[in-house]
Amino acid sequence: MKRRNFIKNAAALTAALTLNSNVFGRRERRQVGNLKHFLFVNLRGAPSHMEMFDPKPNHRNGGPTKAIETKTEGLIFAEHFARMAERSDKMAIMRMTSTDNNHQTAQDFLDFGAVRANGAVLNRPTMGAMAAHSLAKDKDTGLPCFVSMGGRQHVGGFLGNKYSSFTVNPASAGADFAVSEELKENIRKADEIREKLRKMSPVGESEIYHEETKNQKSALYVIENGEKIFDINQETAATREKFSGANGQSFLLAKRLIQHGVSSMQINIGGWDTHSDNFNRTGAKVVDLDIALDALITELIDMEKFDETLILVCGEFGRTPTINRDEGRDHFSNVFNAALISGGIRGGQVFGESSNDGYKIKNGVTREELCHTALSLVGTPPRFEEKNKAPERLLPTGFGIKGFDVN
Amino acid sequence: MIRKTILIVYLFFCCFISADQADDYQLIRRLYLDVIGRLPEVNEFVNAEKTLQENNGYSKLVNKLLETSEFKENLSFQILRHYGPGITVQSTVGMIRARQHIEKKYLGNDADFRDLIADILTAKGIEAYNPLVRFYRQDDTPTSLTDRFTERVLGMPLGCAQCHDHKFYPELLQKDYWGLAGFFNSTNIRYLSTSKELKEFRKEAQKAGASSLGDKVYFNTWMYLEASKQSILADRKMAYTGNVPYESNYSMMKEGDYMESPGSKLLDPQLVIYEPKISNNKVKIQRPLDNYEYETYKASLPLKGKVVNGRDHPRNKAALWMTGSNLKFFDRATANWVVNWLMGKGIKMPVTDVYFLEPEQERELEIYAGQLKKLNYNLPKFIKKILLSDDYRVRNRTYKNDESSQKLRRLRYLSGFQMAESFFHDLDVNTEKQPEGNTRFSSRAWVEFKKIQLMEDTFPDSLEPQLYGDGTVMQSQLTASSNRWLEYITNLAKEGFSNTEKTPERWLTEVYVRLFTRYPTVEEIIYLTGLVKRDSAFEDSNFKEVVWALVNSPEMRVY
Repeated sequence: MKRRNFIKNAAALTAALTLNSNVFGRRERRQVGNLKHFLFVNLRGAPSHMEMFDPKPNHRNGGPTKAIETKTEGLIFAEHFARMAERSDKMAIMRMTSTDNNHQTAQDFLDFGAVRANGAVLNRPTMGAMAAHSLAKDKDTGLPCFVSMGGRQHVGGFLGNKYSSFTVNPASAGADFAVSEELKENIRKADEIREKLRKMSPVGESEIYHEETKNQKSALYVIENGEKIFDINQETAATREKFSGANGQSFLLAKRLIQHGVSSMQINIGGWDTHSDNFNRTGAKVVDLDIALDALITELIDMEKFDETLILVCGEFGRTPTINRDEGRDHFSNVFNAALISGGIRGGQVFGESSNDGYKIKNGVTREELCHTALSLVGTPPRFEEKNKAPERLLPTGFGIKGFDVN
Repeated sequence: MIRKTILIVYLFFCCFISADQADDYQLIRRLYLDVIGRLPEVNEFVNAEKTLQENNGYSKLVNKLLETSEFKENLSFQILRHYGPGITVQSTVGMIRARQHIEKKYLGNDADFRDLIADILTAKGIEAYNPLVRFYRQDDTPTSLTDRFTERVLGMPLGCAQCHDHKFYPELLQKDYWGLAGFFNSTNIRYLSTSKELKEFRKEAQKAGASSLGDKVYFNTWMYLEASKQSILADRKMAYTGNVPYESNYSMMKEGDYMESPGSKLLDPQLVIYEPKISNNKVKIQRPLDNYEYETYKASLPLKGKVVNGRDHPRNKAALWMTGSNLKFFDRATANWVVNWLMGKGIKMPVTDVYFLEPEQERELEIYAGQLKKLNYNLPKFIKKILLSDDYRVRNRTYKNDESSQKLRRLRYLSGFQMAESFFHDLDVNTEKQPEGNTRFSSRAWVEFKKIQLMEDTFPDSLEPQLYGDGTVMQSQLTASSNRWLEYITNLAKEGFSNTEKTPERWLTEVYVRLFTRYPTVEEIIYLTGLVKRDSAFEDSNFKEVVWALVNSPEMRVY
């Protein structure tokens, strides 16, 4: 090869690699620039994907569940997801695969963003906390930056207590935060005393003292405004009607929180562990979820927040294609489903393919890839680095979903 | 005016806090919270302060705390929390059984901690007779047990080697992982909650040829569940019903237990571990993803590739290997988690991985591990040694010449449980009359259940009090405005307002001691006594506002 040609080819190769870094798999780490909110809909108990995003109507494993066409060509959903089928052009569907059939460990793994289980022992942050950290570290709305509904608290781990979830019960949130005007007045007066005492305290200069002061400031904001913000009854009757169903209140509250600038939310919905009577139980739950998700998407579009919000819908694993003698499905992790919904991603994407009997999977997406992609989209860096501290891993190892596209 | 001047003079001479004193106060606070899990009472603080002034005062104070029953209760919980499956709720029947068993048998003056670990690793039988079965979970698999026990007992992150040789520690091979998993392969864990399950278990145990254990287990199960029904019922009634708040079966439901329910549900569901009669010569474990059946002819132990082929109970071999003196990991991992508990941060973090250490960490951890060995693995003695060390007494320390090391931050948040224990335990538990005539669970269970209820009242929606409390916005919001805390604040304020036997200065000093474990400074006491007024109505007296400000001070929640 002549020297000139060599230089020409080398330059072309370099340019190609720079422009299309997919050669090294880097392209998957993409961020949607204007994402401001992250909602993780955690379906605890492992939902049956065959009654949701991946029905098998032409196989006996599919059971009585019928399939319906979606807006995406070649993609079918279970009949219970009628509204979501109409929204399929706004979501990406992932056929997932893993090896973990144990509720506890799989749920932990998912909750801690697929970076090793035992998060509590390792002081790791949960996925919602990581998203909150990425989206809200420079933002101060007065409200907690991570709110969870219908479950226990999710910890901020080494990211700090600021990113631990603020747990609310959507049904009674308004009443829970109802504080009399008299008490508010007392607290205002008492807070002035506290401020003065702060300056006098011999340990007032410690780092943790300052951190705690910020927490308390945020707590006071919640006491002052919580009743108004967390009360879903403040919504109009028409809006509340849209969010009917068992979990509608959580989604309606999520809508309110997005409106008030909360960065990260997690809705935990249990009861998907259908070892018996799967078709009736899952069917009813999926219809509820369908209504609530649809209503939320509608509201977000109306508020022009849909492009700024990323919704992840996922359970810890799936359920066996074979129907057991109790009309149920048992634990199965080889194939399950997840969905990412947002105006910021390219809709209609489908990754992986399951076999007709539902047992095998081709090009399945791993939990690491899913969490990597979701967290990358909200701008989570691979590592958390702080002065005088050892760097800690945030994103799981490897890369995101290959070929995942954003708008 | 005259009164104020006298007060200022008095305080300058009597109540001025020097830097040394401030350190002493902090030390008392930490010592109480670390060792017995709650803040000292006013009289305890005063006595502790006096003791510190004596010769060898600190050592006397440590000894005194280590002799309390509260220390052993706390220690047994820490053990359960570290080695048990997941974060556990402290007070359920199974947990109480396990904790009482540990306190009685493994925390004595001559006890060897390795015995406890070996007994946990080889636990079998029915929970009612062997409470250490509680360290297992019904959905445990050979892989989950291998992951958990290697991380917790050895501080060795072998779990990563499940699918491939370890990427960062090339010595940890995939074959080692599956070799060790072979030891747990025969562990059959069953949760018996219905009569049907009991029958199925019996059939299976007989079929599997669990002759040495299965029949006995079945017999014990049957005896326990059926023959002693009345006795259990009486105990449970005492513990849960009547004047005790657990009619709703609350804590039992959390653990998956239920004390009594209609139909075929058993009265007292039990976790049972039995080992079918098998040889560990041939081990088959199925990998879930590709259904590949990993087969090894002899179970092998990691690191040295030693192959074990014995007739003994397979887990006995693993237990001997894990706690054996040929491995340095057990000593290091144990020392590290104890340091983590007492000092807020282990020498190596996370505590579940002491495999790779920086040279300085290794040196330091080796010193601690050496002490543990020297004290014949007696955990209370080891804890005493740590508490008496300068390392514990100084506030902060950093590793030298190590950029990646983390500063050991001594100031920690009080957990929700520590707060509930410190501020509500006395008020509610001790003042209420305990049920009489209880035999098996006695008053301990009753007190434990009360504590959990307090926790729930104090911090609603909290399933994991240990995680919950650590300085979150939610905790701040609840201590500032929830009914439980407002009630506490009002009561304390009313006591200060109406108790004319105590001057406001004395009352404030007591509040400071109770909340902050220190005396107020001159500046603080002058400011606060200027605010409170006893000659006006309670609402205008500022007592409530002052107590609110103190209870919600950042200082109250850190140590």
